[in-house]
Amino acid sequence: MRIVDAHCTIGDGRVASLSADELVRQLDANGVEAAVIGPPDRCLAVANRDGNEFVLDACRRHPDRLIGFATVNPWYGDDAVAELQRAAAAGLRGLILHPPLQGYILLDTLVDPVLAVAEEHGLPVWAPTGKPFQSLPLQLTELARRFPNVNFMMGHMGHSDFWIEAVPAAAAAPNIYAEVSYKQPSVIVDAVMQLGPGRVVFGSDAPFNDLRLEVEKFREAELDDRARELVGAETLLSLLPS
Amino acid sequence: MIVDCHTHFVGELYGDLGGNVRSLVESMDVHGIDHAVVFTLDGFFEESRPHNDKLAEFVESHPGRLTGFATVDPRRADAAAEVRRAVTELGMKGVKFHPWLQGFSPVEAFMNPIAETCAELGVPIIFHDGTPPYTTPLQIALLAERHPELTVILGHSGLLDLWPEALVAASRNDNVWLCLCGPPTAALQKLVDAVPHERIVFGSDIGFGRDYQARHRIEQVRVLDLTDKSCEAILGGNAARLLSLA
Repeated sequence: MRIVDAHCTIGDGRVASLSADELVRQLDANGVEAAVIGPPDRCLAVANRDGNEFVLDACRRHPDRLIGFATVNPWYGDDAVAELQRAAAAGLRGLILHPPLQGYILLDTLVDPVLAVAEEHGLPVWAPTGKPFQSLPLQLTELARRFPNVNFMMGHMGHSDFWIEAVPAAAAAPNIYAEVSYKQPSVIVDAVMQLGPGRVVFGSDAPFNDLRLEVEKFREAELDDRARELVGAETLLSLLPS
Repeated sequence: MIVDCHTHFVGELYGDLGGNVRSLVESMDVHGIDHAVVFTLDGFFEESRPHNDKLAEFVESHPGRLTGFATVDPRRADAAAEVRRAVTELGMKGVKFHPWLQGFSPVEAFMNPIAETCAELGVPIIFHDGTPPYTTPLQIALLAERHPELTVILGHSGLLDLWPEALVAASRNDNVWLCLCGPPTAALQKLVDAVPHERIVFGSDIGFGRDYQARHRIEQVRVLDLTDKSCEAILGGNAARLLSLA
């Protein structure tokens, strides 16, 4: 089964740290073809350009293994728009929004100028969900309805206690893809059955989670071969701009 | 010896997540779990007394493998009496609350007689914890602070978002224990780095859905940077001491 990981973080963070080289070593050890990477918490919150450059540098060193996502804090306004334009032109292929670290509620119109850039460049948007009360599955649904031409990944699928509404929230907007880090195999299988195999993507949230354990858990989910290919790699790859 | 401090007895109201192919004890056997603490699910939604009886019957049908924890509706005037009955007559060794399912906050005054009864009987209270509005670790720790003789267990150690509260609560209060069951591995490492290991136990949350997460959660403890002695204590020894298992 091909596996491409939809969500990893590199760099030094408050809770966990992981270098790009170490991540690639872990991908090798666990049979993972490639991984989406984003910058660490400080860079999500404030030092966006530093983070985007750090991610770009890692991708230049491991071009076949790492897929870089940018971040901009929408509170920077015009500067955020300009930085995302720059990062997309430089080769970053998605956008991470992080409402708790960046200081807004996910559905706030504050994010609209940044999402317009994501739409222009065809960047998929990943946001954590299940973080009360700033970043919840149904808030992502509202955003997805407001930007029907942008594809959104529902990070962690509502984990912790909002997993119950994750599938209904994703089902309510066709441009949402459930990212299943933290979710046990039963929940992954249920999401595939209810949303369809083309609407669920594997992610590990390494290094907060242990990459090996997340991959082993995903391999345990009882999916047919076609669903495994879609959830494991193909759907995520299809969302990326060329 | 592995003691799993967080498992569920699936009843009729609260169905499993689908695909559950093994009984609880079969799952324990597959994953090398010697003993498990088991909670009711249906008792959170209906009058708890008959569900405590049903759980006790289930526990008795697997001698030596299971320990039952009762639940009560804490608003009821007879809540403390039902705790006493469950412990002294049914052989339960603790109480489980799931405040956002049961609709109360751990800081409400009606919790006091229940806490006093549990302290007197020498049995712990375990809480679902980790999410607002009614299951934050600091809410639960406030109850523990009011009742220093009571042992309180954070059943999920704060989950994904509130484990920093669990870390503070368990570091500061000698009567707050952690059940490692839910936070990401990197957060588990922060918790075991900060909290005395003799107050940390392990839980899988199995009982509904596939039992794979028992393996996943045992591995999450085994990959931590811990001495073998601490790892064994967290996976079983501490719970055996707390529950006076033979």
